[in-house]
Amino acid sequence: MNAGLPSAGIGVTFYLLATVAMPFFEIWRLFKRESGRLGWRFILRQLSIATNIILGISLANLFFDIVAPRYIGTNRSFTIFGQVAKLAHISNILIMPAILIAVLAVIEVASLIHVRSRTR
Amino acid sequence: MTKIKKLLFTDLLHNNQKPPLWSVRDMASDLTIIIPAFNEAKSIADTVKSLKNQTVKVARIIVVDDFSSDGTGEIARAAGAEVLRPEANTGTKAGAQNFALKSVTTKFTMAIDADTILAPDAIERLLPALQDPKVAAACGFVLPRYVRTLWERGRYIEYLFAFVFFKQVQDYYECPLISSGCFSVYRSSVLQANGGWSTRTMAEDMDLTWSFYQAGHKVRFVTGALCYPIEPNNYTFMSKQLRRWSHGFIQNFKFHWRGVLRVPYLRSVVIIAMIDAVIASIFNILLLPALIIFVSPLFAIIYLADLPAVMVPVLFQAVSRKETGLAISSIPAYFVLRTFNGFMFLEALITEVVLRRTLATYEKGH
Repeated sequence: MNAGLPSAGIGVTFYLLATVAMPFFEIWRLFKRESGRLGWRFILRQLSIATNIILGISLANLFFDIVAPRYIGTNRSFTIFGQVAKLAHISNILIMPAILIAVLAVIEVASLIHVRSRTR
Repeated sequence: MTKIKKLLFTDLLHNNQKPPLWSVRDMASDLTIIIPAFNEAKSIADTVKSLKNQTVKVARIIVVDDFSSDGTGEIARAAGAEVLRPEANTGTKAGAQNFALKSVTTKFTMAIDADTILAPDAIERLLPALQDPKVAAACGFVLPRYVRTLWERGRYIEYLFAFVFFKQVQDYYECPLISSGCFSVYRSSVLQANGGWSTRTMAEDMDLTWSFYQAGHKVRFVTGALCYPIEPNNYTFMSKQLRRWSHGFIQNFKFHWRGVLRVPYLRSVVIIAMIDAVIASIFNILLLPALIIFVSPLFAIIYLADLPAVMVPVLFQAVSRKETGLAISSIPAYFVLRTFNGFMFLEALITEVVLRRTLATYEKGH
């Protein structure tokens, strides 16, 4: 989250993807013979943070999916909860990145339309 | 193994290599610091002293005593600052800053809040960012000076997360969302060409940052330049501050969205932040409580679903600062602050967008 603004997860997904993209950007910069201002040490550190976040979220999902039902049982409310948790799991892996990519695409298209309308 | 540990846990805040001191001394001798202050008698002396104790000497330290009634001006003068006092209260922080900006003749201008102190080498670390002529502003790493109450603890976690993860990524892509008003340095000519700090929104620092991007300038975030503001320590101050920040963000979004669309990466950062904040507010304040009440209390666990995502960057920094215990014990406070934050954002959204009533009164809340 940005300080002072609430976050639901789409922001974290965006910054995780942006972190994963860093090495590719850095290689692109090397290819263009530009020197990255922050360097590989910075990128490795951010990547390790991102990797641990993904690992942490995966462990939490694993807890909801496998471990919790064994200990809490299979009463009705937990079954509903389990189903929603599974949905959340799928959401983290598939839906959230898909929404994010769709949003980013809409933003880029909107900017293109806006720039074109201004240049006319 | 040791090398990997060193790489991961070396204090990020002290990782940046410093440029030669002589080059920064030259820049500092061309720097004016502006401190807007309204009834800041309790904190202004510490702020001025922290500036006097910097590793580099600055040209001027101006405290704008914005018609205080508690002797702020006298205390600031006794601490060694130059004090300017308008004929009447300017009404906003931006107004007070602009009052002093008229008298600035140096190449660089720094803005610091009257309740903020700096690490002794903060200016030495921040100024070199402006050696790149394309950079118009640079900001530092913010950490609460006191971490005692529930609100301060929540903010401590929020800052650690935001400055260790989000802001670092934004800086890599050369687009920090905001050059924080509590501690930023500006190129005076660009600042003056912009007309100083605008009073049209409740978040003048965000307004200024986005204006710079639209004008083709760059903004930097310098991890090693540390500042310590006093954060709101009770409900009243926190609600005033969050009200200002939430309304300010929405006001800036409404004002700048067309211009922001023209700036690559910034447009993604801003729009994602807006979507994220709207979804989070609706989900945490309306949807999740409904699920808890009408379906199953187990849904309360979802409040903690993103705990790993929050804990990782926080612990990365807390471990290196030897503040692991403080960070872990502050986590519950973060969830309280986040929920409250959702309320405040939802209120701002309804007031500014649905009811079309713009918040125009600047209420001080640290």
